[in-house]
Amino acid sequence: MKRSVVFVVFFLILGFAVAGLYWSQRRPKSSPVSANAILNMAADAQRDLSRVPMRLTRLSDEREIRIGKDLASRYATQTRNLTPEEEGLEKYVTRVGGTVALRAHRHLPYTFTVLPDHNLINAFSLPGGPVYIGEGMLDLITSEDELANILAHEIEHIDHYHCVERVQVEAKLKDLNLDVLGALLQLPLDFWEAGYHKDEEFEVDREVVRRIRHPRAKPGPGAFRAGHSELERLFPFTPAPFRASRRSQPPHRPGALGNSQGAEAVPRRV
Amino acid sequence: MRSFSALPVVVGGYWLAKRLGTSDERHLKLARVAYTWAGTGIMVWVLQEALRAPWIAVGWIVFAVVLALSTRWIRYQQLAWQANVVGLCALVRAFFYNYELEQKFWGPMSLRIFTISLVAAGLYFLSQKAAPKERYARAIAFLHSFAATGLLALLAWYEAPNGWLAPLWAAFALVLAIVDQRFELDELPWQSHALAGLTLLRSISVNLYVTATWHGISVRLLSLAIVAVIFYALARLIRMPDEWRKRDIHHVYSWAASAIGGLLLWYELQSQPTGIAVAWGAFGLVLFEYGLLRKITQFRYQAYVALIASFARIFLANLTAGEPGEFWGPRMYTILPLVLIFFFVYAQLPPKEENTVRDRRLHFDVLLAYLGTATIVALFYFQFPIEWVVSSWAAVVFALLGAALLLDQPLFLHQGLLLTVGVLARGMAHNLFGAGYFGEGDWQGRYFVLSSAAVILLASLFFAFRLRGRYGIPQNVNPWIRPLALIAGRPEQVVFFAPIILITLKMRSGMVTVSWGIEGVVIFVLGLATRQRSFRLTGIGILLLCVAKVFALDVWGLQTRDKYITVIIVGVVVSFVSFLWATYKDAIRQFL
Repeated sequence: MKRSVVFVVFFLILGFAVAGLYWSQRRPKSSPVSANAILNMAADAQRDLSRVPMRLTRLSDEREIRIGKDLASRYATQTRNLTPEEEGLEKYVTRVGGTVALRAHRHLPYTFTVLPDHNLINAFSLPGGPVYIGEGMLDLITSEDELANILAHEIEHIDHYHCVERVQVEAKLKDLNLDVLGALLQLPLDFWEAGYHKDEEFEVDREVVRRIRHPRAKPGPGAFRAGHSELERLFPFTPAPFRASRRSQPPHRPGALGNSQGAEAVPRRV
Repeated sequence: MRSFSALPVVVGGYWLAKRLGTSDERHLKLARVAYTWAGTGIMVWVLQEALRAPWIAVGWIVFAVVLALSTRWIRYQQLAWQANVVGLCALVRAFFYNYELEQKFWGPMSLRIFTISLVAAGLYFLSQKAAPKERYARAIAFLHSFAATGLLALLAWYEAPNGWLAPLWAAFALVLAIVDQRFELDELPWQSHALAGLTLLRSISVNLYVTATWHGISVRLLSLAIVAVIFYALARLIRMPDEWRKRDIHHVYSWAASAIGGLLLWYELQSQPTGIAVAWGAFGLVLFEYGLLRKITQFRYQAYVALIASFARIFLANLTAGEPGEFWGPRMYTILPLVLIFFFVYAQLPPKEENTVRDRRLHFDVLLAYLGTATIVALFYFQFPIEWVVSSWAAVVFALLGAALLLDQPLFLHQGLLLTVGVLARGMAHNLFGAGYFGEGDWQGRYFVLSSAAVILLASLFFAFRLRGRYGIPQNVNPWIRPLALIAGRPEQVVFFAPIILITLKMRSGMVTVSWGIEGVVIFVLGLATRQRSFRLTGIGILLLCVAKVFALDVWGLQTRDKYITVIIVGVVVSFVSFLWATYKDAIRQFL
């Protein structure tokens, strides 16, 4: 290269770098410093790699339903009986959940159970259809819309195979035989209360917006705004319907939620 | 006044030493020694008694200088010894007493500065003029000179506020180095080294954390910038044995200066950490250009370190910077300049350039090219929606293969092939197996995304065919590398089969056989058009796979509608190929 050309290019690139530096210093908001980029890439890679064996070892719906029913019957013995008032509440939850479940991709026998524990501010689901919601969570809900969102979120975890994949992973990790249900029944109830991978949570939330919560409306800001004051007061950083995912969701990756923020987030990614 | 009455005793002592007469030469020497030492001792006492406390050290050093001058005048060595001893007395006195003298003496100058500077000046004089014999000259010079420098360095400690001590010491080291350049005094470079070491320690332990400002400018920025500049100057000016210079030992200073510069950027840009990477990149670019211009290898090495650091840094701040949905944000305008810098530096390390042989021997050129590509790959990974990453990477493959062809750079070909494998892996792991189980209803679904990636890769065949066989396999290539070199010799195979695998696998179960059949025909025709036997065989292989799948699986497992459609279309396709075979049997045999 000619020396003069090199110098021109050198000063152009240097000027671009200095301009970038200048622009970055003018931003009013400071960017956080963390290893999130590396963690995101590692987590994405881990998640993608784990999905390959999941796809190749898919259980049939019948087996998934059978596993879910056995797990549900075992957990039923661990909780106290419902009071008449709670039974009424459970019927109401079942009615709302049943309506929501009609929009799921897979037509599984979805069941809805209220766990009589006012300290349980959570909802979770088992493979094959059982959905659980804590009474503590119900205490915070102020509208049917909120309840529908939460139940839809859990239904979509079942619908998108997240629950059954967790069984598959756990069975693999503990060297359990999926055909021997007794081994799977060793899994404690807490195991199901933990959140899922962030991509799975995003996927579920997107589906809730797209198919269940507003089946005809175009997803957009405000989709989740309807009366979440109490939940949002307790958990101000995450949309209320994403409650079940709260434990597992790391700080989101920029761009993953499109051009929205906070409660108005509409995930764009697959 | 009482002490002045002892002056005649002093004079008498010296007079006796000079005029004493005795026949025994040994006695005469002893007597002279005794009288002169006694006279000097009494004179020291007289000065201590006669002068005010702050000036005693000054008086003693002046007396020592007089003794040293007298030695040269009357050539009596005992006076030189006495000068050294008196000089040390002045040093001790100054050290233990004069540093506490904070009262002003003249203008802004304190009594401490004035008296200690005089003592130090006297010691510097003694270091050159007070050697009683030649063989002691070096030791005396080192002793007094180090003592004087130590006094002045300590004086700077007392006088300079926190942030300014380091540049003061650095400037002092530079002055010593310049004086040494002029007079070639062996003891001065060592003092420069010692002061520079102290400066570096002070800069790292104190100056980096100074938050004070001077006329609105950060003291940290000013002081460390001065230190860095002085260190670069020291690397050039400080005198060293030639053997050391040949081994680039003097560049310890330039390394220290660059380290200080890098740390300074780090600390000054803490308020907006995204700027650090781009600042390091620009710093590395400047160092590289200077190193290239002046043919200084060590500057280029420092540049490489700065550039590697900037690359690592983007993973900690820049890649996750910006707001969701923001396209032209800090991520873009702080990372894109780095990409340009990496490739610009790489472009200036051509194989024919003799100046940069060492750089290439250490593979810095390859490293920088890979850093540039890795940076843009990482940028795209975070910049675009996650499902579109595969397409953006495919576009990078296209650009890399184009660059390999246009610039005649096999390195870009290797990168392109590597990234093609990356596109394939990414497409399979994320877009195929990692995607949701239920297809997207909009145009962003995996069909469009993966199709776009495949189309871009297939478009890259334009370059891949032209690059085929362009770069031969080196003679003594490592056996482990040989297969890779062979693959690089046939890039069109990789660039062709990666998208084909993606397309083949992305078909849904219902219509997969039909899709494969159509794909097989397209590939076969493409193989005919490009005269590629491997392509044609692939097309026929896929067609045979279709037929096998129809009879083994589809006839028994598919839904009725899919079953009929599959059998009909595959039948048509196989009939078409059979027709081609029957009509152009000989021609096709030639191709196969």
